[in-house]
Amino acid sequence: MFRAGRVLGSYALAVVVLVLLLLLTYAGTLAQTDASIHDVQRRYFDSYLVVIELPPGIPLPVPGANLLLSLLFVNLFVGGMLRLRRDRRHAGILVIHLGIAWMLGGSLVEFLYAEKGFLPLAEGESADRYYSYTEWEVAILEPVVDGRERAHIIPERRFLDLGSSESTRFHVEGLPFTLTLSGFVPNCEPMQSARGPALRALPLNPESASRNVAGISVSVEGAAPKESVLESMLWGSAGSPPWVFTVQGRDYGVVLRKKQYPLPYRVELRSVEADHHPGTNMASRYASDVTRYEGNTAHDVHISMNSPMRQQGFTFYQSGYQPASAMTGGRAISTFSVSRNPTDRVPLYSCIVIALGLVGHFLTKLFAHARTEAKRRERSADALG
Amino acid sequence: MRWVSVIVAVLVFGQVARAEETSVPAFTAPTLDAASRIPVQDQGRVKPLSTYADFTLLNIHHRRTFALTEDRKLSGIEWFLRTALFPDATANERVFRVEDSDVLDEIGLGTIKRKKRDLYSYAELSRGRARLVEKYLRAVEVDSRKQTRDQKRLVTLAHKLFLYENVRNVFVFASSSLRLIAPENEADGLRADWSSIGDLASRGTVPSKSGTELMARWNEVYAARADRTAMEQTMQSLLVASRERAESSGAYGDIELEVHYHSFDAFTKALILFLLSFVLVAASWLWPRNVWIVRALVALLVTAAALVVYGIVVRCILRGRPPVSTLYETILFVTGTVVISALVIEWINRRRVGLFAAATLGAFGLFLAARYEAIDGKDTMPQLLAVLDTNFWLATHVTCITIGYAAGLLAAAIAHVYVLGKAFRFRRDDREFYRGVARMVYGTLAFSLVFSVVGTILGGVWANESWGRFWGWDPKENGALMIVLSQLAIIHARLGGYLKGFGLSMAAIGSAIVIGFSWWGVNLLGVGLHAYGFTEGLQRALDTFYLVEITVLVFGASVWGAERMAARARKS
Repeated sequence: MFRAGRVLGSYALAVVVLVLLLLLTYAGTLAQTDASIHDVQRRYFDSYLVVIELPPGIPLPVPGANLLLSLLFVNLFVGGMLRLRRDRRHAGILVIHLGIAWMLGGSLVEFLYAEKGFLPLAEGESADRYYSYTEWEVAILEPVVDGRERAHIIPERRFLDLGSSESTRFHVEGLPFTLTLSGFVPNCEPMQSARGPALRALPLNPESASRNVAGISVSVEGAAPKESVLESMLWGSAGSPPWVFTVQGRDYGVVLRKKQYPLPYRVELRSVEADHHPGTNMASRYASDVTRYEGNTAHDVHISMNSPMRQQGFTFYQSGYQPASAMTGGRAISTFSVSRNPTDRVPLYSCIVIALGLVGHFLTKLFAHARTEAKRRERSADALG
Repeated sequence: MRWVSVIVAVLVFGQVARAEETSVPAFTAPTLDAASRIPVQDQGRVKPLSTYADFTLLNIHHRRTFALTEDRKLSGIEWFLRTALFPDATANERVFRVEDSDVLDEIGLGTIKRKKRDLYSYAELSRGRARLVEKYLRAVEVDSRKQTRDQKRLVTLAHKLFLYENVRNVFVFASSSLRLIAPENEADGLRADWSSIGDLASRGTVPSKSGTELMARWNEVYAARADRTAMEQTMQSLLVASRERAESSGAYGDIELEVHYHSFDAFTKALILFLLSFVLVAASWLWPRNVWIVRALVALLVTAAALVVYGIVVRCILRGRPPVSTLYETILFVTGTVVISALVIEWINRRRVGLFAAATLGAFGLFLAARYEAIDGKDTMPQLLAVLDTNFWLATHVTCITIGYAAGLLAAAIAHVYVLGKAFRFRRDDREFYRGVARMVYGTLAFSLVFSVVGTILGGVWANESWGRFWGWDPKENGALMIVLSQLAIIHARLGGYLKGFGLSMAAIGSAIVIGFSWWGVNLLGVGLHAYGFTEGLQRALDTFYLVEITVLVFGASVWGAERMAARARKS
């Protein structure tokens, strides 16, 4: 047990893990010339194991970043317990490692719990939810009173791996039908086939995974024995209307869309401003004026590059804009990146701690070295003299 | 109606004058000096006409001067004035540098091809203009990263041609878009749109009094172009009128300072001093006990460092930015940091290794800066993207990262002294010397690690403030992380006793390869948020750097291996 502890806390393990992380990072960087950052991140950096192909096609499993970072955290902790000298001369080292541990811990929390997405708004438009960049959901829309509807969500993990001949059935309590999903396609476009409307699979977008538009086949079987099976295809393009079907005299809808995250308030875009460097097409700055409605109160906020809006754990960042045009209905559009991250400020605080430790330790060593060198020169001068 | 007569006079006079162009007189120094200070708005910023002229010539000709004859070299502003005022007479001057003459086949000019890399005139190239424009318009519809090599060459040639025509047609109204006319009495003339001479002449409204006078001054310059003495007076009058107009909108800015920056050319002066220093370093090896050589060396290096710092400070003032906001500025800042750090190391250790590193890397860095400027061929003070419009993060994250690069490369340079010294048996029995060098390598690496770690994390904090994510595994972020990981691995290997002097030095050289990849290589991948500054010549230079460092590593390893075997053989 003690020997295992010595190995886990050893310099050798630290060096091996650091070198493997270095090689993994290099491989993941080169991989981005052919694949999107999202795909590379999932494969190399959000995984415990990566299978890379060595020529001529020999698969080689190597540790993924999650495994290596976990090992590094353990090594940091165990090594600190075993080896770290708790005296003034080594205070800097202790501070550095505590800061790194804090940062790694914060990264883990972010990885597990952060929710990130985007929200495009046209001038005058408002919203109380934002959208995932890459995750999908199927929403069954049930009409309730006053023309409103209740959405029953089927998360992506329930249908992401469905091939063309695979299906899975869903029944929502209280709804008079069973829904079957099959043949999820991560990127596709609609087309007409001999059998009617169909979805044509497309290669995944190598530049940005968020540009992939998924599709899935859906069928509905009514609760009553004589009701026929209704079939359709859902295409996840923004603005695609739900597929509406009737069961027992009521209209229901089902739609494939980007996963939605609710906000605790409504945000309305009042106006977008954009300046360009004179005589160029390069934007020098762009910013949005929004109003945030929380209950009965309204707050006007200015959001610009490098100056986000933070409220109730959600942060809105000015991400992009489109000028008003015929395509946008004559209104400018502002796109916000939205993030909910419980450890939003941990990197900044841990950086300060690490910096203090590094600078303190470095200066201690530097002054000691300078004194040693000065003494060496004195001894040389004495010897010559 | 006065303005109408001015316009008509210019139009008519211009046409008549073109027919009478014969020889082009040399302009006097006062004429060139006055012309240099005329303000122009280009690529989103107001700059002196000399800056515009210099970079236009650099782009077209790949040199800052144009050799008209063996004895006569033209500066950028002189070339500009000749081309603008005597377009027909200068049309046969071979100013276009074409890197690969095969591009001429694409536009039907295969018959005029000479050497692979040669100079051509506007008169020669304009015969293929129609085909060039047609192919250019097709090529620019393709994403620049997906363009074929032929398309890239065509686009490059077309851009050169358009730039030249912008100069050539300054006095051909409605043909040049050069923005020489400042707005009048605007609240912020630096941010407002300027006009070209053609804009002012062709506008439907009546120009103001100052606009009319400015047009008259341009007209006078054109009329006086064949008379050197008259040119001096008219150019001075034009400068006064242009300056007054720009100042009315607060748009004259730092024109004088920028003219001084380019004419003083601190970096070229520093490069000369670094080269002289290198000679003195060699002399100090031959006469190691001569203190005067060392004192002269220190004086030269300190002066050179001061010039580099001066140049960087002036750039900060001109741009209103922290010292590093473009790839070009990273080279200058890295050079300055390396030299100052090497001098500090020398002050502490006094082994002359710091002096050697300062001279070598100072010269190399400024030479690289000059080559980059020539290859890029663009103004080195461009406007920034909106996301970079933040002095706080430029001052913290970017500066820290660049200091990290500099110190890491310095550690590697000192490590070369260790590895090559051991290999060539320099001071073979002086173990204290090599222990001292190893300590320098380790200490400099630790210094680099401080700034690399802090800079990398600050980059993540900045990304979080801008885009809502601390880390996105973007290639540039990965590059910075790789530097941190390589340096952490080295330091922990040293602490664990796995690396001693020789191994530490070899690892530091390896770390320099990682820094090269992070600093330049990721930009050349053309991926991610930092994919800018893509330049073919840089790829070759970077590959050469990798090859040299790998050669040193292989050489060092083989010498070390041979010595170990010899030692074992002696023991047995």
